[in-house]
Amino acid sequence: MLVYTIKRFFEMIIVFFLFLIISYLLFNAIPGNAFSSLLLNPLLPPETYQRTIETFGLDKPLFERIQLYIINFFKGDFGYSYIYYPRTPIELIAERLPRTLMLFSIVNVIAFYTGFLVGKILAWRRGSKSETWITIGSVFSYTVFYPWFALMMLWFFGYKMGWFPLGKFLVPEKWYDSPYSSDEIFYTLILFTTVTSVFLFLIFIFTRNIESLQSRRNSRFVGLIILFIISAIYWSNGEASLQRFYAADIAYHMILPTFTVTLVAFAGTALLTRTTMMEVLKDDYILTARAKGLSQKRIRDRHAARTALLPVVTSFIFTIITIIDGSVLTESIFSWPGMGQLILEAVTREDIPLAMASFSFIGILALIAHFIADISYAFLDPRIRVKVEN
Amino acid sequence: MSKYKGSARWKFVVLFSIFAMVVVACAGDTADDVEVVEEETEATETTSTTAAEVVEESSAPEGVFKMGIYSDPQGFNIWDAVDVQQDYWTFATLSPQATSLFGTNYPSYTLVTNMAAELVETSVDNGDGTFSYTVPITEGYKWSDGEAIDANDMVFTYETVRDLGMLGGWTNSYPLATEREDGTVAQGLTNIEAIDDYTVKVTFNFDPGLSVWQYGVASASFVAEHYWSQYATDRETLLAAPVDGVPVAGAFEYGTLESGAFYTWEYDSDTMFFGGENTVYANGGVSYSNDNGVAPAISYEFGDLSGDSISWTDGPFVGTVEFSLYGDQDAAYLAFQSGEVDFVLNPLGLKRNALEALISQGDVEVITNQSNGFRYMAFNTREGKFPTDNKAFRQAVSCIVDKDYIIESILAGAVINMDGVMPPALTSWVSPVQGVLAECNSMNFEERWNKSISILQDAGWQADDWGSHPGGSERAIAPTNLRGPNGEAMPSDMLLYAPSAGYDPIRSTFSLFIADWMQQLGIDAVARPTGFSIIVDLILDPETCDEWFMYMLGWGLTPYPDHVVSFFETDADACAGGLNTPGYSNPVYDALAAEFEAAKTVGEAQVISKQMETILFEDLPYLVLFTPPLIEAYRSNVEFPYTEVLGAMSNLYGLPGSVKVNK
Repeated sequence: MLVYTIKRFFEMIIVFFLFLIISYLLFNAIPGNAFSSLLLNPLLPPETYQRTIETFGLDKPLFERIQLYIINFFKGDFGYSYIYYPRTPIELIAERLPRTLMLFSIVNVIAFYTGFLVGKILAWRRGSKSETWITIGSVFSYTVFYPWFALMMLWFFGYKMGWFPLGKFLVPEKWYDSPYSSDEIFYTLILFTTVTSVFLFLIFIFTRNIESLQSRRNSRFVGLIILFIISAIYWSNGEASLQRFYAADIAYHMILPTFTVTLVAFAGTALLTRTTMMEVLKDDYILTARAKGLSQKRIRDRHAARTALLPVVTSFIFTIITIIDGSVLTESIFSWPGMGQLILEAVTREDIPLAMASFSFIGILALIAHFIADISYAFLDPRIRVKVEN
Repeated sequence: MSKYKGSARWKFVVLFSIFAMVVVACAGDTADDVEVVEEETEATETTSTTAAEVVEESSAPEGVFKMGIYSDPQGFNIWDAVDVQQDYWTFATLSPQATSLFGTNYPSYTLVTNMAAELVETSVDNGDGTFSYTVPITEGYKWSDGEAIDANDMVFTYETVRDLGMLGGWTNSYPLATEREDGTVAQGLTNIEAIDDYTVKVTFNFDPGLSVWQYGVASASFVAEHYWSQYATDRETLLAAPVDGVPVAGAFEYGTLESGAFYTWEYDSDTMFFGGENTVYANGGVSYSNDNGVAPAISYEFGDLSGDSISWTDGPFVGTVEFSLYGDQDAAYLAFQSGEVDFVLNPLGLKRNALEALISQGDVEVITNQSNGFRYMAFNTREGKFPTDNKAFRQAVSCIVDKDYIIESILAGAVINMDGVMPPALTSWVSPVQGVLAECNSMNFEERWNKSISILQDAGWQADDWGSHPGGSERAIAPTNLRGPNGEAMPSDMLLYAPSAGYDPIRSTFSLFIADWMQQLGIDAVARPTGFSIIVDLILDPETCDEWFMYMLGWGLTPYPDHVVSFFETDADACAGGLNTPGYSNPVYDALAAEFEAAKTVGEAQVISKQMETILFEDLPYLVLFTPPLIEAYRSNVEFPYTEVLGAMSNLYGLPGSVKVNK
């Protein structure tokens, strides 16, 4: 396993270098020569002009420029953002990332959980009318043109019904006298969500081996109540009690984008789970379980679904990447000022340092996600582990 | 089974009860918290204000003017904004951190005094090749923190621009007399000094005209020395300086700056900038008086005070100005429709399809203004760039282009036809269309074609067969083997670059029609809709500035229309880093440009400008196409002091200082 991990790690490093080189070449190939067009700006200060030339080595041959870019990358020097001068890309990413992480990590978790649940039921109820209709619905969600769908959701629930705000992540009036910046609230929310998620996960882990279905459910229910009470205590005391008014505003603004993206994103997981589980249900050990007289729910949840979970978990890990790059459309439509909007702005306004820093960040995330997926796959599936070790 | 269901119901009841208790508990606490915050705020204000100030506070305006924006400002520091950013959204949200000696009155675009006590337009010859303007500053004006606005602030700003090598707008505002590589010294500012606290002396190494003095240095921003001097150590420190508590010379200060979400200005209860009485006359005259009891009492009149007039009193009439950021224009207008914002700042104007949706909502007022700019087709007139360097060629092409046909029949009147480079709204500056354009404007297509052919023939152009026009709206039979006066062969595939349909469908449409008409003249022209930045790079890059025949772009103009110089003066050739992209060079024109730059009064400049435009009508380095109308909408509860202005309300950033928002 260790050998496999080391091998994958080195492969990841090679892929990362390739990624850096290819992304550089792509930016270099932008029509109109985005690099040099920056230097044509008569307003560009001379020191920035010189720094740009030095950072990207624009006066050097292509090979040397790539070399310099990679060296600067590892030094963490992306130069200055051109549209937010004199701020650096790293500062801008640090400002925008929490907003995106907050929205899309929740979306991904909900979408994954919903998708897995729906997929499981679909496979179990194969041939029923509900399976047909839910499958059609899932396929619709999976294939719908997302920008149109998101605009329709915004128009209907936001404008027509007036249930949710029309984009943004806060109501300005509520924040006029706020002693907190939205980033501080986002950090609190991320911390709270992470701790809550860990707690939920622990509840699930510690109760999963309880044999009796009734006892297991009761234990989880109690755990949930404890979590609820702890949460209420947390938000009622100290700094959090002052922040909750603002946190609630952000949470309210998250509902519609979360719901919209979940509606689209859950379908992929649902269809994948359905397909995988239908394969699993044909296996002999399921027949054995039935022959042992186990309940249908137990066979479904504890025998079939667990095995079917394997590719679904892998697919979920890959969605970490979409937290950042998949946010471009959603953030534009819902006026959510996160990484997606930043990337879009950087690309459309040819802020090359910012764009390259953002893409490099996505690249790193993608590679880490693939690395985790590969390792977890080997960890979860003994067949792969054995094959690698042999 | 029934036991299980009952169990679930029981759990649900317990869960719901706990949830309800938590919600009730939280809701109660929230209300308490809000009250605490308010109490704290009131307590702070009470302890820090005098009785007299409390009286003033009670009359402070209330209400919020909410404006939607759809691009993020790039900074809030005026040094940064004027230096490298120069972005519309940055200026729109920038608090009044600077003031100036002179100002421009809107909507009349008339030059008026600001901090200056008088409009000094005459320089003194110092006898050593330098010329000085000595300007008295009105005593009594103060920055928002109570420090006096005086001559030292302007001197500090000038010295900072000079010593820290500030760029962008600062170099335009304070054109320094720097030494060139060849050892000569550029015309510009040699010094700004404070004669006393309220008199500033500005010295140039030449006798400057309107564009450098009245609309240049005298209108240049200057900032509060006592605040900015602590950051004026190096350029980057200054650009990155914080703006919390930055002194302003206006009624609003920054409130909340929530990056990526919204920004607010809050009314400064100690401000002295309020309550001015304005009257603007149809012929450009302006009268203004202010005796609000806090600011120095002033009164002035400028320009021709005849004709119809409009009058209003300056606010502010709102306590908060909110700039709410949306992801794009559609999202901003959706918010406008739902009443979230009162007005959307939109320098490009509203799309027509969006307008219909807005009008159907009711409670919406629509205004249409002309933009202060134009769209044009440029010819590369540089010597040796055949055929576009040939005047007859440019005249023939300009004649055959039936702009009215495209605008009325194809674009359904979506834009306004323009012939000259002066916006029609600047009536005193506009020269009537003359020459070939004037002749061809009233012609039908057959007549245009015939006229274009005769222009070429008269100029000695040659062709194997000159072709013919069958009449009516039929396509002409194009001349074959068209050649220049000296037998020069026409290049093939002459590209006409234009912005792509996705960026600007109107210019893209124009390019297709113009290329087709040129083909009917026997010219192998091809419309090439392409990326905006590609065209900009092509025409401005010194390495490629000569590698094109024709392109289409547009210009936005400044309040003082000195673009007749910067767009066509020989010295401003784009290949040498200027804005004269066609590489137009005409000694007669250059002489007039020099006169224009030396003009001391607006009237004098207008006369010269008209002479310059007459030459442009003849030489046609640009074929001016149209100006887009700027359509804007605002909610009916909003009251602007005026709505007719060149460049639209968005270019005045929504007039937050004068707008009223009725409840």
